[in-house]
Amino acid sequence: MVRVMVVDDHPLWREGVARDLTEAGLEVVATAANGTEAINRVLATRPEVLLLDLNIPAPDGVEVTATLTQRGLDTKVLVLSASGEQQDVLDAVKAGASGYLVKSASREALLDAVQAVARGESVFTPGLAGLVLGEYRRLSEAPPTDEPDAPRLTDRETEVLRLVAKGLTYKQIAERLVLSHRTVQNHVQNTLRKLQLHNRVELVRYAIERGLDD
Amino acid sequence: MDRATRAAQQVDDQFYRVLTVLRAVTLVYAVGINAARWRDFEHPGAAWVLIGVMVVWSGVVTWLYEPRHRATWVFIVDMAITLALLRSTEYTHTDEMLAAHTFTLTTYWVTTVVLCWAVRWGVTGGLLATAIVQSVDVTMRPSVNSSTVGNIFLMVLAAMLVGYCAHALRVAAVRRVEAERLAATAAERERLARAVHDGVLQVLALVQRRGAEIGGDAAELGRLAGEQELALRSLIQSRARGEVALDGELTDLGQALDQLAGPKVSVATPSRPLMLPSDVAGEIVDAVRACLSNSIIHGGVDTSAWILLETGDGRLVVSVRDDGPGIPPGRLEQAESEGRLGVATSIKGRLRDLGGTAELIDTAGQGCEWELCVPLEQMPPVPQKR
Repeated sequence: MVRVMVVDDHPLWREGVARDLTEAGLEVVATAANGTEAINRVLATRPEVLLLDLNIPAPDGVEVTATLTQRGLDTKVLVLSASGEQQDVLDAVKAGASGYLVKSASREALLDAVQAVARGESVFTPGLAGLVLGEYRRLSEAPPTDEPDAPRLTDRETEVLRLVAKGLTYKQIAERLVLSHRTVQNHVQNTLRKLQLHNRVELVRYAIERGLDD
Repeated sequence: MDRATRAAQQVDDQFYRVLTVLRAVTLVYAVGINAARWRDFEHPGAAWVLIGVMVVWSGVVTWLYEPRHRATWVFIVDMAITLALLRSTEYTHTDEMLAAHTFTLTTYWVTTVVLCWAVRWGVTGGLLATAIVQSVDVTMRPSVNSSTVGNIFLMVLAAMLVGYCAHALRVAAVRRVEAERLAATAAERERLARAVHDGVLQVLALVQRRGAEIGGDAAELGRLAGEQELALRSLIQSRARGEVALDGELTDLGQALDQLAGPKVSVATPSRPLMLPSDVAGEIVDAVRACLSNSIIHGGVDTSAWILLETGDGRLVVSVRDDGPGIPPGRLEQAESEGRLGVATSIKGRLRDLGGTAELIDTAGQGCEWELCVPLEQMPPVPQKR
């Protein structure tokens, strides 16, 4: 049974999602209405999946994700967002979130996404794929002094990500590129992992620079 | 008067205040120099009268340069009187004094009107005023020597510098006002977006989900709520991105495409804005719209579509894919050869007009996919907002 925690500042929504998850046979180990509660309760209950709204009272969803990543927890973060704040979603993913879903997604889509994230897969909407493609493009166009060691996408990864952004399912992508479903999944995950790794390296570099300046 | 114009005028006001000080200082200098040498003049009496005129005019023109009187005629009259006083040197001075390149009657006082022109009409105005003043000065001397050339050079420098600074500061002032306005608007929108997010969007999303689960009439309600949720979300999203181009001629293509999102249409764009001339962005959006209607014509109203915007390698690419039956290879060419100008032809035509291409991608039975490419060389640079 997958252990899930739901974070949202809107009680109606929080309870609704928690009920859906429970009815589907998942275990909701905790809920939280703001960032501080979220971090504390994740540390206390160690859920497998954290269903996280980005727009919550401080620290916001992006900061919560970054904090959990820094602590090296196994909890996977699935971002659930209503207003589709593009930059926030991208920041959350770079900070370590495993996926993103819009709130209007159907109950089945939500349950599938929670299960997939619990299995260690990435959940990509076409919108998120577009953001990630744009981010790699930005990194490749930035002057090397600004973004040293910026990660690059392989041709295959770019191809796969573009197809995700164009709304193809992993199965359809596998068919079109004559790959296995697993390989497609790996390519997608790699694109995220490289971005997250780069983000962590950047944070460390920033911390060191700050440390030297002080 | 709007705030930007007022800010630019405040810059001007400061310049004219400084020039008032310069006028007073150069006036004192001129009176002093002339008082020390009045016995040398050929017509000392006339010289004193002219100095009196200079003093009076300095007072009058200072009043005329006040913001409420400042008009083009003031600059012209100031120039005319200054030139007349300058030229009267020919009458007050002896030939020896003129030949020896002693100070004119007005000395450095003439500089003020030149700089006033520079503030008013920029570098061009300053240089024009310099040319007028210096030609009047030089033509009354029997010869040109190094000090005349030096004076001309200094005046050209001063006119260019003041003209340029005035222009640059005016532009900066207008930009600052614009930036302050944008910041205030963005802050207000963010507050609104948050308020709306917390309430309305959440409830709409919930109604949509519950409606679909209950079924029947509730499903219809849910569908309506879903449509409104999407419309509102894309509105807030574009607002939160703060896309108000400084130059009214530019549009963020990403934001424009976001507006096409709907229950059956998903839009993927980079988080950075892609600013394009508004007419170009409009053409691209129209072409994408044509692709979408093509999808519905061939696949029916239940066809889903996905739009992807990418940039790179000096071009932008918009992909529009649907999950409809697709268009068999050769079908478009056949239609064209039969003289039927369908949607496809209009899509290709629009892109050709932009110097780009529209291609139908072979998707091996996975719907219909258009790829619209437009080169970016001719486009203005992308403003960096993040």
